[in-house]
Amino acid sequence: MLVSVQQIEIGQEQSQRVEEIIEAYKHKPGALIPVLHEIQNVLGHLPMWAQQRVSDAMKIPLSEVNSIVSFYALFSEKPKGKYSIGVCKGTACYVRGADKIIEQLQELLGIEAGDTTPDGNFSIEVVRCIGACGLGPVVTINDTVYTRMKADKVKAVITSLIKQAEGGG
Amino acid sequence: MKLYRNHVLVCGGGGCQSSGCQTIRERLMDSIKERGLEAEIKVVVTGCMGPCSLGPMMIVYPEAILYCRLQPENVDVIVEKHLYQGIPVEDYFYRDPYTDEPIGRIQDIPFFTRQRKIALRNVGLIDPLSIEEYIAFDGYFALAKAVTLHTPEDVIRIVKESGLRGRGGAGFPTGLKWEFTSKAKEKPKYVVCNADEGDPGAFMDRSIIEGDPHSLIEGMALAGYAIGANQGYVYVRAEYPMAVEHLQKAIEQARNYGLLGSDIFGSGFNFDLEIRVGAGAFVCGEETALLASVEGRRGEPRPKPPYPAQAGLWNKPTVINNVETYANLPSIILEGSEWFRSIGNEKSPGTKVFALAGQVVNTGLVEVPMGTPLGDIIFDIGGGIIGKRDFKAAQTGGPSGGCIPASGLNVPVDYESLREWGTIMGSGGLIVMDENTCMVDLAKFFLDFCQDESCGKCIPCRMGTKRMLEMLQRVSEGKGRPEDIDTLLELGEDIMNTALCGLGQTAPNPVLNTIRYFRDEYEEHINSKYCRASVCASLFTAPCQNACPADVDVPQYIEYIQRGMYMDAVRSIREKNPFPSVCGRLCTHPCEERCRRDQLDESMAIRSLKRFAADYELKNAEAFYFDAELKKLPRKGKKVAVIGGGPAGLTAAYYLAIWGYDVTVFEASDKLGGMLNYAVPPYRLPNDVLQKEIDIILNSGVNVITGMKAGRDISWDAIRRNFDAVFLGIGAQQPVKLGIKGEDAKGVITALEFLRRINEGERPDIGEKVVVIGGGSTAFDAARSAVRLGAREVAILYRRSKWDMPALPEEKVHAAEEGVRIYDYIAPLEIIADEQGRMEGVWCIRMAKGEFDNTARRKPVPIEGSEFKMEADTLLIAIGAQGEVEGFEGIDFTRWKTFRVNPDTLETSIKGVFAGGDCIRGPDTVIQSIADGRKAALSIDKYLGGDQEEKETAQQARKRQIYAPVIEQERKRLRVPVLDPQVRKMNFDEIELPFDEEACRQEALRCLRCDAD
Amino acid sequence: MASMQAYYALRERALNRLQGLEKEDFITVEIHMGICSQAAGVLDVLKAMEEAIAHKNISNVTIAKTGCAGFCAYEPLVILKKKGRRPVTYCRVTPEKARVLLPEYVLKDRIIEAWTLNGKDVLL
Repeated sequence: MLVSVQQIEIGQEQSQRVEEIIEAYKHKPGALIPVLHEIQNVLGHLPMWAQQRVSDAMKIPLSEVNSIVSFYALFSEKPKGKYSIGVCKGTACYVRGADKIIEQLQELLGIEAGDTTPDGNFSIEVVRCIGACGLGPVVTINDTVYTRMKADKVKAVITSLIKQAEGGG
Repeated sequence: MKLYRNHVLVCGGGGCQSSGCQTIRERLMDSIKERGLEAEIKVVVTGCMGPCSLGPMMIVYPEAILYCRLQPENVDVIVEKHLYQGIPVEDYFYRDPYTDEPIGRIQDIPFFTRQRKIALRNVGLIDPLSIEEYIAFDGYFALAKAVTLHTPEDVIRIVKESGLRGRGGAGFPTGLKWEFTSKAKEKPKYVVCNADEGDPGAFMDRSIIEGDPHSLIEGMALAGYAIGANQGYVYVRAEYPMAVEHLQKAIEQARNYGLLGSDIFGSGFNFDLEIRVGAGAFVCGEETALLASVEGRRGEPRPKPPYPAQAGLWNKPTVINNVETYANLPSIILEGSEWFRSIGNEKSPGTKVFALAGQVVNTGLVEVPMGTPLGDIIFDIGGGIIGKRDFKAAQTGGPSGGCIPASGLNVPVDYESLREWGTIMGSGGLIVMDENTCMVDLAKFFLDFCQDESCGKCIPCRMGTKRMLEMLQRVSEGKGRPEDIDTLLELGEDIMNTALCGLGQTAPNPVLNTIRYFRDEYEEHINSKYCRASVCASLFTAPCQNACPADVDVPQYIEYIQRGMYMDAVRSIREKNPFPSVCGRLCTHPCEERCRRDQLDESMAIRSLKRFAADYELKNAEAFYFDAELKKLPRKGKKVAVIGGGPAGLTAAYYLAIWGYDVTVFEASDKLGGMLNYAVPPYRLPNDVLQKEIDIILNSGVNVITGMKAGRDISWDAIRRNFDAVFLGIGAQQPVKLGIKGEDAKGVITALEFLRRINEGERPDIGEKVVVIGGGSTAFDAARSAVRLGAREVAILYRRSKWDMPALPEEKVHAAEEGVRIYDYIAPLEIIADEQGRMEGVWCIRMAKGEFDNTARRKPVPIEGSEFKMEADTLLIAIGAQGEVEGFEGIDFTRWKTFRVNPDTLETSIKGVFAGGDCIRGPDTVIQSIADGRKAALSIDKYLGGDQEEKETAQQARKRQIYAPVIEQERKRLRVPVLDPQVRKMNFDEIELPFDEEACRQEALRCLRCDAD
Repeated sequence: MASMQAYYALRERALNRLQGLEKEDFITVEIHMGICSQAAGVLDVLKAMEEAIAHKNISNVTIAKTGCAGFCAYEPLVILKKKGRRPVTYCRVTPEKARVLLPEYVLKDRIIEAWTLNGKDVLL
């Protein structure tokens, strides 16, 4: 098997973690999805080389692994931004104006939902109901949840993050 | 800050002040001083607390006891007993108006008291990460009892007898499901929990797993024991990381305590659990898809049968229930099936948890007995709609469910009733929507969701929903075709009948259901290219303009004000509305209700800006009147008669005149203005302002004949013979009577008659005590005029809730400030007169909140035995008015005495005769009459061969440009300066004061310019 | 768990421990730690409260972390419970408020009404 360039860039340590994850699960019934979850937790997304490793080690055809990855919305083959922004588009958030928030974010960052900024700092995703319906509209940025979002609040948060991203290089 | 033992809040609002709170406050201070309590008790004078009818009132904290209708001597008792000895004085408590029970604590709010908790019994009370706390509250006792005392068959029997039905949505009897699985031959068997709570807007499962994970574990173990399974799986959404974490810890604890694992309670029963985390696929909420996902495959559903009870996980018999169902089980085993059946209703026993979200005040999780009326959940527990806006619909059942309109607020919430209304229980999401939600857009949202989540396995779901979505997209862009609605219905039926799984079969539901209840909104989108909720972006420029019945270009004139071009602002208004000064004072400003600035801080003060510009015109420039030029427009040589010189008639006349028609206005009285002239008191609309405004309109070259009543002074036939077209704007001026005994007594007059006399300069003698019946602007105008005439006590009685009164909020505030007392839930029964036939009082009865009517208001129902007498010298009736529609031969009218017109053209049943304003709607707003007047003018133009409408459509694309930076930081709206209540209640001077120019320009800069996008 | 006897013993012990917290002058601070509450900032509130306890050397307080109470619109909620007293419910608590309200109640027996659920006129 050819070792992809990405794998070299990823480095030995992460590659090692992937092997460990596969090893820990591979004899359990129905383990494919938990394995992919854990790998994505480590790598941030599921690059082709990792899918190939899963396929080889768990003796599941690559096409099947890939069909699982593409079926489930939570699995991503594309890397996300340093600040991964999720806008909840559950019904409760929607009737309280989630659409306006998405539009505003797209305008502020100059990208469409589903994309990552060219500098890799921000990505916008429309996510399914995260269950904080009582406090909508809700936006998540990495692990932080922002509630009752309004236009001025979105702007303030994003502006400060842009500053941080630039400041931090 | 200095802290006191007690705080006493005394209401100092206008209402209470007039009812004597000054004396109460002084007495309180003295009394506190006498007992030397100054250092411990703090008296705070607050603004109006709202329930003015209860004044004078005070609230004592920290107990939050509300004392009301206080007399000075009561105060000493309260100070002695409550503030000194610490014993609240029940005698002066606020009493429930319906039960008359004293309710002391504000805290006794329905949000908590109306709930009944079974599934959520521990949530929010115990530490979810402490198994010991769970056990301290009888946790795992049900499991202990079951495995040591009951056989598995007993457990199944108890569950069956309890009548528990699946809380995940379909409502299948849980006990039956267990029995099937238990009887299946294959082994091993599995227990699965569906915690893939995918319905957007439902979050009770998350709450239970996060807040009380052990109740889920115990419920699953009970199921395992009942059906003979030793292994369970919990399939949790990945979007709930905290739930996964809590459940993982709880499972470990349960294992450590031997509550999971082998030989539980020494019974020989073995059971363990494993968590499977989902990966973001809504379809996995469907049970066969979920099982596929647990097995590590794509979560695609398969046809049923076989059901999971026969062939589930790895093709073995499997029980699959949702979180809430399992969480109910320990209580059922412990308390017994009869106890459970005693809650809820016959077919749906027990409780249901709802996630209350959307435009409702108290969002959150509530658990109520099944069968609780929907309206009670939304209005009593949920606290009603945010901002007291109008309720539009409640959505249940997530993307598979549907909406229930206002007419369904009395529906008892259970599985069967919801299904009758075309929706489902689902997992319990209850999303409340107000008038700002567009039903076409909502249907599109859900369909888009389903289309996105369709696994693509079967064609009806994959392609059918796509076709439907395309069609909805078209409708929302104003490109819909009339036949689209029926095609949507047919296509929807097809998909429902042919799709493979539940997702596909129910995907069309939101569309079918919204068409069922809101077909008119679909038709508006298709036929009038109008989205009343201001949501579908291609159909309007700015929400304020969209909300204005007259379609006034609000952002445009605000922009002119920003730039100091006030005359241009007025001209821009006058393109659609020839009454800027009147509307700047009286308009009910639907534009402000929709202003997007409201999402940031407060809506724009649009009406005040209009008034400012209009005042500028009146003050500065007779020379500005541009109509001289308009007169030069080519005359068309056609004659139009306008019957009625009110706002609708004058508007129609104005536009027809400037478009080149020869217009004659026939007015029955000797002054123009209609209701504006004789029903609106001068303190809201000074006579000279109205006169000047009418003068400008007449400048357009309209002929006026006053004192000429159609059908009396000139025959209807003569009018029709002499004119090419006719507009009827005769208003609704005949007051409706109460229809109760004694109405002909001296002292009883209609509010309209009363106001007319005042406007004619009379000052009627009304005595000291005045009672007004009604809740609209006319009632408030009459009451406030009575105050100005020197009445000592003025009260407004309304049979519904204060919130249901059609008068504007500011009218209520102003009236209260002027000393008018507002009593709701009271209706008059009989007028009592003395021997001379002069009234001396009214017999009244208190009303209670009944069921909801079709407008989401509660119908009032009389409380027997609550009759009481109210003394009064004068009774003013303001409960509505009707038009004199009979005299116009050949024109159809309704049983409400309104002309029947074609809603698109306002043409009556006679060709060439059009009507608008109150005579087609009953009493309505000024702006609506103006809108009708202009709409009818356009129709008349078209009828007479003109092309004004095409010209306007062609001109519509006005260049939108932003000239000044928008103020983005939070800033409160412009406050209207008003005369002090004590001053204004002495005379009829206008109460709103003129505005400062700079303040107005600053206010104009708050506009977010939604039009410029 | 081996037997019913073991269960009864454990339940007894757990109950006693919980009741032990209810002795005179002991205050239980109930905080909801659901995702709603966390989104509304309960973690910062908790931290502020713990700091206040350490700073003022308060010993008769325990913080009980529970799940969501369902009253999401008013989170973060902080409920102060003391034996024989009506619980005090603060709503929409901020770290700033948290630093004040706990010591005030514990050390001075004061309730800041404006911040409590009772103070919210919206509930009338």
